[in-house]
Amino acid sequence: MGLSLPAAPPDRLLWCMAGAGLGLFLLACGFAVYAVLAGARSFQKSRSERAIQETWTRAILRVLSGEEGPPVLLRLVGKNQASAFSHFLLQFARRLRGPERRVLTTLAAPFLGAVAERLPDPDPEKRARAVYTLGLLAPVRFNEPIRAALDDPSSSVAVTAAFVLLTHRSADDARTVLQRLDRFGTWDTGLLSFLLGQVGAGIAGDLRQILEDRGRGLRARQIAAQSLVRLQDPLAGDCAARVLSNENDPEILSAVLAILKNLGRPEHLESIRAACAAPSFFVRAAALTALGRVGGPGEEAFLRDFFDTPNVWVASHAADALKRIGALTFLRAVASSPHPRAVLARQILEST
Amino acid sequence: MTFLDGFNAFALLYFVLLNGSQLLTAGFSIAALRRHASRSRLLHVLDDYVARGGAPAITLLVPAHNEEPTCVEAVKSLLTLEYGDYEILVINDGSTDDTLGELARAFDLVPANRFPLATLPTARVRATLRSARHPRLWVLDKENGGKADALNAGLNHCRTPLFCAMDADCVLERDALKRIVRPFIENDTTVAAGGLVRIANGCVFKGGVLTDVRMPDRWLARFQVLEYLRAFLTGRMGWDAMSALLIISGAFGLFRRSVVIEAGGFARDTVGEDMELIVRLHRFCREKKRPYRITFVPDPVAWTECPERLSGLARQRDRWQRGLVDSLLRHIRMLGNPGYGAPGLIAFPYYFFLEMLGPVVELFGYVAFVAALIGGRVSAAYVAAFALLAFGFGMALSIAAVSLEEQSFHRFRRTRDYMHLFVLAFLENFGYRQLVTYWRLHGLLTSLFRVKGWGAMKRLGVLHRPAKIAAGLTLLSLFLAGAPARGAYWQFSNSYERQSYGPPRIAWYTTTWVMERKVRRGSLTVEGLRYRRFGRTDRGGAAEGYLALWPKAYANARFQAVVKAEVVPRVEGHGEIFQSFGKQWEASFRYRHMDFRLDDVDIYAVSLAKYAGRWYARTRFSWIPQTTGAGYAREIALRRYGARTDDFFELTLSRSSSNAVNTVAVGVTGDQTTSLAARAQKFWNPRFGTALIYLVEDEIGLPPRRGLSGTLFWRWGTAEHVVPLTTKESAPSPD
Repeated sequence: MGLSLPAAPPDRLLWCMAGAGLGLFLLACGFAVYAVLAGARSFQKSRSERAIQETWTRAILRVLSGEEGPPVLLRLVGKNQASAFSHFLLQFARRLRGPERRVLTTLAAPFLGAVAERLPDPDPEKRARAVYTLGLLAPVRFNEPIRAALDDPSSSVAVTAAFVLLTHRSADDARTVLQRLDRFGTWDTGLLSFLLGQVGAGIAGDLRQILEDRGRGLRARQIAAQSLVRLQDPLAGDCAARVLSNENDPEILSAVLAILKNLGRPEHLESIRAACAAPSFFVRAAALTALGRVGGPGEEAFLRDFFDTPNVWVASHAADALKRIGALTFLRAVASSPHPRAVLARQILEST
Repeated sequence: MTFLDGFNAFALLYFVLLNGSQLLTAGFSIAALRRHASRSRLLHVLDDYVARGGAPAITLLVPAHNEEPTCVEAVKSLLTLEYGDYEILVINDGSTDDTLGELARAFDLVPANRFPLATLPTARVRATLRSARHPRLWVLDKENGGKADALNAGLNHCRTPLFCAMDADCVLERDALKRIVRPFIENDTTVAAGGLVRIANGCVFKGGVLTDVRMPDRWLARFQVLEYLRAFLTGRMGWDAMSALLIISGAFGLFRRSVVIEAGGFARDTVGEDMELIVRLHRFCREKKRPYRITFVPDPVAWTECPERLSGLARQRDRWQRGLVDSLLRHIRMLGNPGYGAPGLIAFPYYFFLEMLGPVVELFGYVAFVAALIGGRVSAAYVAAFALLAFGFGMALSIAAVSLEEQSFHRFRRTRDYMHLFVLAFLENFGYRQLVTYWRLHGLLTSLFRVKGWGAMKRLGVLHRPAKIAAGLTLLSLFLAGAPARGAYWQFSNSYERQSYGPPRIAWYTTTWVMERKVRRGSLTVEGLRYRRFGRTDRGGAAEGYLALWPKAYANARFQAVVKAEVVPRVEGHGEIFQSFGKQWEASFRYRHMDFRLDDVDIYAVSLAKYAGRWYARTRFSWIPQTTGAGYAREIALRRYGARTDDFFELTLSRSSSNAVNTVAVGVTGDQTTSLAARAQKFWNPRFGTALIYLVEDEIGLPPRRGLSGTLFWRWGTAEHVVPLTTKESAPSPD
């Protein structure tokens, strides 16, 4: 019919396009093959892992209960299963303490050399995993390298080292961590104070020292303050009051006010009242909460002024404080009136 | 180089940039997922912390509008999440059904006071309620204001340092909160974190808990499974790795309350409030010079239902594109601005030029490519190379996402589900992607013209869907005008048909206006249609083209759409391939689809034709599969040509068997139909011609039908636009 396509001229662009297209097509096929093989492999692997885990679990329960000795389990671990076995032991190490943990350490001992070899690995995730494994399974034997990991350039490794050191609740290890509180980058201060809180009252003095040390970083002092609250340290209140009188940083002020909320005494009221006039609203709010916990009915007139403040966050803390000091008559009157904060008063009265 | 050549070069460059960028983010994603998998083994440190209630408290903000059928189950599933300190705040956003009643009955809601701690402007809050049985469950009842307004109302009443914005029909996995809170623990400058959203269609849920992950039954949903995997695993992970994440899904995201309130909450005057917030957070934090982090976590999963009908999917993609356009235009100062770091220098230009404007380039690229093909401006080799490149890119990205899913999460337990995904990665290049591009273009245009909804489009007058198609294809015609070709011409024709049905004599009228561009390698027509039947009028448009493929082969395709069709198919299309062989024989295969208001019909047909001098004969056999049993049709056509190829007389006899298609009714009817049509066409001079068609149709059980139509042709163009027929030449195929 005379309708034919013109011949294609040899063209570098054309060859590039065709080559790239073919390459991408082959890449897609490669991905597909990889996905299928990976799926099959992981299915096989998980099936065999499940079988091995069941075998090891039965054996380790007999070992932990004293029915059998460690060699019974160690005989079941193959040459290439060191890493898998260490990982298996970790799930018990996270939960067990005391004699059972020592049994785990005995079981892990032959395999930890290979784990320790990963401590200088260039990949921070591998270093962190090695620190975690060694710290939980053989904290005494590898105490030095774990402590050294606190100075690792990666904050993930440092936090992992702090975690494993602090789980053993040794005041000595905890002090090592406390010296490096500024190293933990941007990790949540709550996490670190949670870990420190597990150690116990033995480090309370160190924490108070950090809190009062203006040469320490902001985060370190915040962590110290939060940890003191968790420890319910009876001397923390005085320390906090001293810091409150000398400090301007809003983050530090709100951290020490949290201490005073829990551990303050009537002699701290003057400092707390002064903080109620701080420029930052969240410091004012924290101060009002502390006033509500530490103060008494005599604070009602002072607190009422803050109940009407434009800042609702501050007002809600003032309302809470009024309830705590027993100003229920005032709150009930507001609740049943057309006052703009009537809903707030009702909410506070309803809350437990 | 003509304009067409230049545009094609630009389109190729755009194509390489877009797909190259996506491959680059995929590369970053692969590395990031590996790191994440490695780090996940360490995160028992955080699990203990979260399990003992040390982690920050979270409020789940759940906007609900007319969720009566699903709200109770959704809330029940949220009550079983594994997280220490969280509460649920359902915001009933002016539902007109019994959403509030269902919740009240299921959870013993009682009035309770909850003072708002922020003052973002919202529609009026009517009541706050709390569950007497589940103290962590609160319900806010408010006047309707939209999703962003509802979220802001929830934000005003949020008392925890973090809040999770989610959709009411989403199901969170039990450990989703534990996982999505991790970035906030690892880095307290984190202000927002997005989780992975996956398609729930086809999956099995029991008591609000996912028990089995399966592929959906419907193909449209399956394509979306692949799309979501690609978007999240090779898209967002990659952007997160570059610290340039601009989108966190509104279905599941965790935010730091204080920062979001300080930044102004969710924008209420946009449909893309989720993306707009993230872009604004980037801008807010950078302008305030605050260290911040916005991240994506692939672990925590929210399962959501996706649209299974074209109309629902169209609306969704249209809305997403409008949201994208709006978010980008509001913050246009970030474009290429080094003051906004990676988001401004890398992500914003990508989304602006490649995602936002992409549909324009893509659709016109298709048009220009076809124009170039018809006009003989590209070679078969180029076509093949481009097709290979396009498919290669698309498949590589999609299958990379699938392999990442398998490697990292292994959610699909059945190998056949993965096989489905691989096949989908190939098939989506044939229609699905193009449809999505079209909807995105619609969203772009509606956003730029600042109208809302399909209804408002009519007021603009020029953007009826068929008219849009016709407009676009008229542009194609203009492209074709640049293609020099012997035998090329323009032709306009107008036909008017009257059919009478009965007795009683019920008249039907069909009017058609056709503009055709004929070139050496084929032709393209654009049509306007008007049907009047039973006192109703349907208006629509169509486009049809013929294109030479390889020697002795050509293709024909037609697409027709009718706005608010009541008597004819809403959408109709066919594709046919012709191949000549032997001594003037020709075979063809045709697929035709008709979408009626009440039914869909697919017709498969094969034909065999023979040319002999001035004679042409064809027989066609059609098969119509239906749920009520297959139908068949047979047709014989005989044509005699005159002195020119445009002059001929043709007789066509057809007979269709039970359950055959009644093309004038609204679906498939039964019994037998016999029809005879006679057509005479003549060009009185090179520019003017006429055609006359007489039709008789007899269907068992229905009154006989008679029809007469007349057509006038006007032609212009090159001087040699009519090819005289000699005895030694074969007649061209009938059109």
